[in-house]
Amino acid sequence: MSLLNPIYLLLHALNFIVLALILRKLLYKPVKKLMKKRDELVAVQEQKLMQADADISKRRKELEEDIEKSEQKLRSEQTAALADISKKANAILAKSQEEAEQIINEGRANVGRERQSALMNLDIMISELAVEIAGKLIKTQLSKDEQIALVKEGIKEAHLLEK
Amino acid sequence: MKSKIKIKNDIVVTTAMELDEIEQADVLSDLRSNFSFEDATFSVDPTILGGVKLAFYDRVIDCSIERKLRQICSSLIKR
Repeated sequence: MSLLNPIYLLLHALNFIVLALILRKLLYKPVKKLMKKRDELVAVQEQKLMQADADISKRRKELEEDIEKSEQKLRSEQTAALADISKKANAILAKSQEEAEQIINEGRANVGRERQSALMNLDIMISELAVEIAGKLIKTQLSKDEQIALVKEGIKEAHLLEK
Repeated sequence: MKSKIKIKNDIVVTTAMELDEIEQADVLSDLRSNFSFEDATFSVDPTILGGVKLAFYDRVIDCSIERKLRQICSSLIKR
């Protein structure tokens, strides 16, 4: 019955209010302040994270651009090198072809010269042989009278030559 | 009238065959009708084959068959 005593009830209520005020003053406010501070810290950290993320994205984009540029430069250099090699190869090929043609032409010219020389030698041999045969025939077949006639013709010819 | 060619020196006549005196006189007659010279000497060279070679002072007039054959040979080679 004593619990239902209004004075006790009032005291308990007062005690609860005092306790609530003390708790509010000593615990609730600092905890709230701490939580607010923590929230601010989290927000700052989040801000920093977002900034870092943005920086990373930016840096990544820059790196990708650099890689793309490098690849482009590499491709360009590769193309230039291939073109240069191709040009050099074509030049070497053209030079080789020219040299081969020159060798062939020289060979043909040599063959032509050899052929001409051989024909000339053959001509000389045939001519000399023909003259030799003619000489032998003349020597054996000319009579004395014919020889004297030739001498007389020779004298006339000599006279004409000396005129 | 044929104009004679004057030669101050003696002349040497070379033939392919040896000529007897009559033949030499005949040839000499022909020579004198074309050339004027002091004396003539005959010599034999079978290699000339035919015709005559006249030599006087520092000159030789070659009208031999051998020379003509050589000319034919040269012209054949040049062709």
